[in-house]
Amino acid sequence: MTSPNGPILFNSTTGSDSAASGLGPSVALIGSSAELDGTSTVDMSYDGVSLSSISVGDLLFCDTTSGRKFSVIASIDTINETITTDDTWGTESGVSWAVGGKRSTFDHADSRLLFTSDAKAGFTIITESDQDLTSAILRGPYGTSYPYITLGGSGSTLKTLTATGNFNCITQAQNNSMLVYNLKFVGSAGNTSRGFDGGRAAIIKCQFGDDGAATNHRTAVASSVYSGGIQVRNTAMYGQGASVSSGMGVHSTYYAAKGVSVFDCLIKDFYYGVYSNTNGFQLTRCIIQNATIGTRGNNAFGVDSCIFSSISSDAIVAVKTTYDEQWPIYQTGTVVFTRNIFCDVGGNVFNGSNTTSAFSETELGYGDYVTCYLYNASGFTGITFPSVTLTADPFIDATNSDFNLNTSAGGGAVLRSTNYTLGE
Amino acid sequence: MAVQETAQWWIRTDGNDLNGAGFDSGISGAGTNYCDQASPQLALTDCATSSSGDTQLTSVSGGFTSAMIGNAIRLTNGSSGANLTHGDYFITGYSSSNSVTLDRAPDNGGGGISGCTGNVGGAWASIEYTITTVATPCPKPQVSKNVINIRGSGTVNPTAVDYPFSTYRQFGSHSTYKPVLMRGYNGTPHIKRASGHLWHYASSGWAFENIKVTSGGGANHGFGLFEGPAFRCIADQNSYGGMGARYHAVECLFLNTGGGSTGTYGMFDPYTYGQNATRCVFKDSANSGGAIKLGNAISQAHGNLCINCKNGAVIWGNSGNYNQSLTNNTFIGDGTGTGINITAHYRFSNINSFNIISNYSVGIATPTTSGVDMPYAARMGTNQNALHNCTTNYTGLWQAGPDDKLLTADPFTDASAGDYSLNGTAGGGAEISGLNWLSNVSGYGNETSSASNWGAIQNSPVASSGGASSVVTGTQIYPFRHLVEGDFKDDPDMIPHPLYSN
Repeated sequence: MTSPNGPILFNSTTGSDSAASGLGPSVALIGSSAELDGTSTVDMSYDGVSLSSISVGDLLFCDTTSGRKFSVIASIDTINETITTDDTWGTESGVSWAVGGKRSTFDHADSRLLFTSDAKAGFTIITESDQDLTSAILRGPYGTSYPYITLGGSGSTLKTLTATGNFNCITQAQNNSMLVYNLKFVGSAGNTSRGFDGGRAAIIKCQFGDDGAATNHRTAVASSVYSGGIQVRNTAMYGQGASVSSGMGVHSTYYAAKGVSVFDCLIKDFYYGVYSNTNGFQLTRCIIQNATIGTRGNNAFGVDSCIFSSISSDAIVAVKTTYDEQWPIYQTGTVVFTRNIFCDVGGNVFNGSNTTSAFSETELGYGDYVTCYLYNASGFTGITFPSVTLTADPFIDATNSDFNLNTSAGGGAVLRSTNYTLGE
Repeated sequence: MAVQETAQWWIRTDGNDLNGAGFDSGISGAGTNYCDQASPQLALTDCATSSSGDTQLTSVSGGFTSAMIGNAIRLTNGSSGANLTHGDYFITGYSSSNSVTLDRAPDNGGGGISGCTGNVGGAWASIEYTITTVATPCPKPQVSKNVINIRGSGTVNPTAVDYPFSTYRQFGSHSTYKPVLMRGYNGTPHIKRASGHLWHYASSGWAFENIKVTSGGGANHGFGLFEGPAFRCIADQNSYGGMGARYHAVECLFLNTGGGSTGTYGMFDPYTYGQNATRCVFKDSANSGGAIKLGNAISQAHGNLCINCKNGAVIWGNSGNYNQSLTNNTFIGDGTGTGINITAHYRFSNINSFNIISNYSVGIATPTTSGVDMPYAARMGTNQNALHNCTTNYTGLWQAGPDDKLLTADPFTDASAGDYSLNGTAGGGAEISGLNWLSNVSGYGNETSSASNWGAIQNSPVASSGGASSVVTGTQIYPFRHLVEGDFKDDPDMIPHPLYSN
């Protein structure tokens, strides 16, 4: 396989879905008379276009009537004006073609092939503009898997994918995988859908919805297929509100999925911040704000250096399983569970359905490592963690999502390094 | 009544294996613990009961007190005992100075005991008797969740061996979820076999706290120095290869692996699924298996500091199938090995990020062939790590990920003095400290001084003036607590990241 020269570019304002491949010369070379003879070599000579500006690794687009439409260029014959690609083509005459330029829309049926049947491992698809979707970008259906790709937005600002109806922005079936980067996911008002659903994925530096917006997806991210697993990092997720009972910031739902890891994320306005039906998850350095239940797990899960703020019911729910019986934390397996802050929790800080039978962290001398810091929060059912009650709100302005530590005595000052003593 | 989970036992080098050694604060009316002393509080040679099944122990010479309730009396036949089942019996009631009630009848069914030796209180001398049935004066009494307290010499990291083993020992089996805890006090008690490995077979239901174990040589493979979860323990490989810990390791110190033919193991080399190395120090490892080896036993390593480790971490086997991760570790090599060597098929949900990799020949090595679900290159590209002073930063399919940091300056405050906290140098520590976690998201662009740092959390002893002093000096390693009294500074603000402004 020939390595692509770079990303496949999309721009819904300046691009073209009929006369650009997205990878190659900045101004697309185009023609209308390509000859496809069932091999991997395409004859452009009838168009009389110089191919000298095309490079190996560029992407050829041929607007065929069926089958393949994109393939990476393996070699160029500028004398005979032919291009040989990594893949074979059908047999067809007078085909419009393009190399380079920018594609226009993710929504175009031809463009969707770059996510599916024409995708190659390592494809990077970058949009320079926002993209409206009239249906989910589907990498599937079940039983069909496509190579790993990267999908991202260009520049320093997020590019928005908007689902214009009640459907997911991206759906991956089993055994599909992708990296999603620098994108914002928006749904339609009143939707019951997910921003990203299924497969194996890393979702990095993205945003799902906007604070308080009616068009937020009901669930931001779901790991929902066999053997799936999702990493979400440096991402903000906004939901439809804590009262929307099926809304989840991150949902690991399939019994045989491999769970989710959520690092450095903001999860706000969901019924469940993180919910895992039957597999483990790791939640590290996250803020879960304005939820009915902060996080619920039926398997081994770790909550590490997180903030739970304005949780109307329980902040952490551990449903009885064999894993629950293995608590304390050091026996739960592949998770990291450390200190967390809980502010304004209406139910329990921790609600486990079983009690620990082994030595607790406190008995083992490092209980402070799993200390819960509580402001207007209390309640431990099943397992009682070491806790410190704060007498003042530790944050500058949690209501307005400013979770910087203040310097208030009994509040933020307690949590600052200069006042924190680890030694015995 | 059998021995309860709340019972604890004491061992001292100046103790005696015929002493009582047990105290159970869970017994109603429990009085004074007489076990942390060399000699028994009361030594008798005329212990008796009236009949078979009788739990009332009498002694004509006497000396019992009500404060002895909760203490164990070790009963043996001595020179003239009869009808006794040797064992450790807890005093549950006091009748007089000549009579107490035991938790169960001590006879063997042949009638009341007579002429038996009994010692109340005082510590045992031998750890070995608690973990093997070989040559014990009594059947070992421990039940699941008991604590065995072992007295050290008062030294944090002693060179002298307190408890030499004459041969390898095998653990008794206890509930995995209610382990027997071997806990050191008064410094760190030091165990070593003169030669060869210390343990035989993995433990079932044992845990260790504040214990030092040194390899006696030989292969020491197949058996780690700690065959159960270890908390604030010291595993000294004594320049031999092999494994330090095969189960959870929390705030432990691993020292001196020697590489060689048995150096294919990691200092932390999990034996079974779901083991974590957390906030440990790994120092002076020559093993090709690295300081941390995450493989078929799906495990995590978080917040560890690895110093002068020829190879940092190895990720291999099927660790990708579950929630393996390697986060916030600092790896400092000797310039010859590999910082993170990944040969495994692993998944998106596994995060290998926020690590600092410094002074290696190869920073991160990845396979040269792609995996099934996605290219290795792309998989590693989803992670973010910092590399400094590596001859070659990457080999294999993965090259720099978009969020990796290639440091151009030393990131540490004073590594030569053992201070591995992050400095504020541009191109160094400043690149990987106080990072804003949502800078890309609209409305969350403000840097904060409290945001997360990469690498191991540095717990720096605070000088009286409030400034940080060195952390790792000589043989004293202080990133974990309890080894040294005094204040420690956790840098940065204790938790929780993320903290941000909008």
